[in-house]
Amino acid sequence: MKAISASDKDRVSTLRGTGIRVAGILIGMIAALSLVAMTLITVTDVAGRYLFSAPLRGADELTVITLAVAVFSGLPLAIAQRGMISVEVLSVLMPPAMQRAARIFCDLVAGTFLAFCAWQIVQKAEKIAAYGDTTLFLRIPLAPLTWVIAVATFVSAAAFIGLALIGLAGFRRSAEAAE
Amino acid sequence: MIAAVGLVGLFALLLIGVPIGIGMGIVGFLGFGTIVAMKPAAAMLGNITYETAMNYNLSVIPMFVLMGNLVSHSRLASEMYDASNALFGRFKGGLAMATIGACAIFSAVCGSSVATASTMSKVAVPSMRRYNYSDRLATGAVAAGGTLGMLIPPSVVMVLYGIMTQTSIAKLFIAGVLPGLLGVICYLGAVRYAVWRRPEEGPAADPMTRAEVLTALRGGAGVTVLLVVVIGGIYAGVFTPSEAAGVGAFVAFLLALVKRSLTWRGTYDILVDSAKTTATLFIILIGATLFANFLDVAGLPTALRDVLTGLGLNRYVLLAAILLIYLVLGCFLESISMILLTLPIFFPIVMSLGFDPIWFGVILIVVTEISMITPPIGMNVFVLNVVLRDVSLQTIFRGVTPFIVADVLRVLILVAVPWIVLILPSLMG
Repeated sequence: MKAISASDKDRVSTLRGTGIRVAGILIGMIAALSLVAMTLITVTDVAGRYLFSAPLRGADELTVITLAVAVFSGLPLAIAQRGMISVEVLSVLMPPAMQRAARIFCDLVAGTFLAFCAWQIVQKAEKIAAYGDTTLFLRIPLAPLTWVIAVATFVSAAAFIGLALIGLAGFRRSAEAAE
Repeated sequence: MIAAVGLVGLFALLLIGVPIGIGMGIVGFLGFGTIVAMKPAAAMLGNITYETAMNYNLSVIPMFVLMGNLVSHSRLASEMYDASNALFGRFKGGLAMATIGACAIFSAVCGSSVATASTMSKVAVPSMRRYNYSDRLATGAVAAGGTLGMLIPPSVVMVLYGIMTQTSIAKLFIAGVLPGLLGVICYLGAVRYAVWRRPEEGPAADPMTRAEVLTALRGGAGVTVLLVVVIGGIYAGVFTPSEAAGVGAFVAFLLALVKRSLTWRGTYDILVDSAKTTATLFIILIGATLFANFLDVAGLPTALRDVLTGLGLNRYVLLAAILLIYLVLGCFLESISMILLTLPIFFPIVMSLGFDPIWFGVILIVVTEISMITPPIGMNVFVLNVVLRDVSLQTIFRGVTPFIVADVLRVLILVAVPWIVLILPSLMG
């Protein structure tokens, strides 16, 4: 078997980079559209009610669905860009190597926890599917939406793990440079 | 005992740098699992995530965040400042007073005191410098002014407070109006005091012609109309807060279109940013709910309440102690995490002391915003120090001092006269 050359390795990492960027744009599109939809649903409902005394039927159910989609498409993007809010007082005081190690540890902990949450949401989704739960008025089945939340939580966990891996790679590089 | 271990564990996790919402979630889950059982604790993770994501009342958050982002990306900050200048500019210290006015309205709509401080520092500080204002007064006014908006609706902090404590969000919003105006008045007083002590710090600007005044005021009309629509609509019962938020976001979008400040790319970024901010807020809320459930089954709130009431202290002494804790916590946490993290512990105590939940919400927000400008670590002061490299932290802290005094005065007034907080919501019926 042929050994993987350095250029192959580069190509793989560029491909991976492109893949992640495309995924980011797709998720961003979903997030953006869900917020546009949420705004339009509310405006249509309010305008309909006051101007034509014909409110949008089931507007609150549609709103809730767009809300869940917006939150859970925003989550992996926020994580990937280190947008999560954390306390930064102590980490500023630590030496840089320790700072980096702490960050990797935190990413791993957070990723593991989110993966566990995602798994619990999968079970919730299965239960909802088994009961055939729907929204009250429009009778929209809720199981698919719950699956979306579960998948998004898995992706978010993966984003944390990805950050940890990037951090580890950087750690190794700086260790090699030190040698 | 388990509660104490949980609290220590949580602080350890947060100090290493685990995101606040995730840290609360982990401790909440493990603690609940230890006391009750792991299986229901695990099921709770799925249930609470699902229920929080599908809570209609929370749809107000992404809509207000979106509205704020649209407004802050639309060059409306400088127009607000010009309009405010038209009103105050010709007085001694007038530009600083104009900064306070512009900050109040801008931060109310944009929803973030840190974002207001950084945006306004770019708009207001250069103009104050041109008129030979001292850096001390100029930066103090901007750093402090940013804190005014959290109380003036719409306010995301209030939504989260309302959800956590099951208090009416509409009433909380309306309750913030008068204390918010009182804050503006106190801050204007602080500026007047500063220029009375040292008149050279804030000279009057050149008077404007009538035509200039009118143009400037017209420029500020858009955002003011937006604010009036949202607050007025909620107060009159035309909208629920969720509807007001959606309509507000739509009107902000129209305003931005009129100002021609939107590109496709820019709009996409604003939308995605809003979704990201919403997600980070939801994670904190989900984590806080898990954590609160753990503290509840651990019996911490009741135990603490029994101990504290057993001390037989005056309830205002206890209130003061709690508020002091917030000032300290404000060094480490931003306001929303701080409020969500501590409410499960302090809210039951404050209620058992016989205080009103709406009133306490308002007081709490004022105090957490004070912690944004108090030493040793005031977030707004630090932001200004980053934006304006040539002004030292010490100068800014000295600049905010009169405003801190004004804030303390405001808290005392609100404690002495709860009527200011409660009159408007009680009229809503």
